[in-house]
Amino acid sequence: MIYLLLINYLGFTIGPARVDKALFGAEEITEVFEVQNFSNDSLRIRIEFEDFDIDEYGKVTFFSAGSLSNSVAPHCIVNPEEFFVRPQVTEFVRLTFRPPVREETSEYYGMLLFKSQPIPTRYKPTITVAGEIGVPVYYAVADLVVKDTFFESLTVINDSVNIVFRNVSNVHLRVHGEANLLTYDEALIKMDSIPEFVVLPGRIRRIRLPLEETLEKGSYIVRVRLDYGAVELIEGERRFIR
Amino acid sequence: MGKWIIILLFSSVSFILPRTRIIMRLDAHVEFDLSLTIYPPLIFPTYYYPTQASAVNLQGIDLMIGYQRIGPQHAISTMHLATRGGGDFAPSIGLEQLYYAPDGEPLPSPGIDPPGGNWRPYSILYQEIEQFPVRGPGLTRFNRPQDYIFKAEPDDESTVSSIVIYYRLYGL
Repeated sequence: MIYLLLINYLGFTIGPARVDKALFGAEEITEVFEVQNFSNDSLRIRIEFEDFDIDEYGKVTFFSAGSLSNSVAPHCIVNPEEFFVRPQVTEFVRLTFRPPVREETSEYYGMLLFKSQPIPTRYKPTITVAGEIGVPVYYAVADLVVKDTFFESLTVINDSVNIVFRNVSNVHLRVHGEANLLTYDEALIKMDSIPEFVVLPGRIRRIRLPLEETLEKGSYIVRVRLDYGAVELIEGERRFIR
Repeated sequence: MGKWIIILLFSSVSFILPRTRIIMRLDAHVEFDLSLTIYPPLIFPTYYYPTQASAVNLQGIDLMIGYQRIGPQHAISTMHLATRGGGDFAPSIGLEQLYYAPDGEPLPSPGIDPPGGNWRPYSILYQEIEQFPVRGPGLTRFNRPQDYIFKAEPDDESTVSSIVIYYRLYGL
């Protein structure tokens, strides 16, 4: 008996993985994306925008394009929107952003999705699979940008440091930093880095850092320093007793 | 002369800008043909692995994701992988009867509901599977084969139906 095994798959790359630019009075701005099909089958791609939101725990929710007031989608033209990419070939896609004439929004953003269409087959299987790669697109209007932030709270509860960070800017912030655990006389016990996270305008982000060290009874300081892309850093401190 | 200066400026800027390329590879379609199994089962619910799946992962699909740094820095710091289903199989067979888990998850015993372990029911909304830190030069790949099971229930109608499962990979 002969078994014929047909393996077809989809494999593609998208670059760049993010667009994050400030406009300085430009009428329009154009980006070029590279779509590379590294499989041996043709790939059909459809490009669509979706809006997104990030909640206080970092969970991302997607909405249809144009749902949010600062959605980038209504101001963008994508060309081409749907196309085939032959095996082992790279195609290019242009995205042009034209901000409204009367500029009132400080930042537009959305997720540009490169949606592969399911692999065509002669029969209809129970489950067909499709892959989508999302590229976040942020366009800030430089004249209107205000960056500001503060710690809404910084507490030590049981074995963890709980940070609530509020973005009071009118643009998204990319934040990273470090948290230091010190004795009262400023001797460093432990340093934790805080990996980069994104906070959308007007939103908060909760961060929980475990205090792994077995602390002896005494008085301690937790000092958190965050870099949110402005000239200055933001620093918060909490003293606690064990 | 001016034109060449502009071209040189743009070329140098493209080398300075952080750039990352995102990669995704999916291999197979999946078939649940219950006529090839012992059906109907003695106990409901009973869980079934696919009757036909990936040549690499017999219980589901082979999924590879990755990134490649093509500038001096990465444009994103984390990649998010999420999945969702397109809709119900039939009026009496809901999408939530299809479960997914990382490859290697054992088949749940009949009569257990929900299946437990790392099995998660599909939904039409995206559910995050995993986050990947993006760092380092060159190409980095993650193999994340996914297993599927179907939960057979007593009121399932006889049907030949098809749905689409989506995998979404993105940075922020």
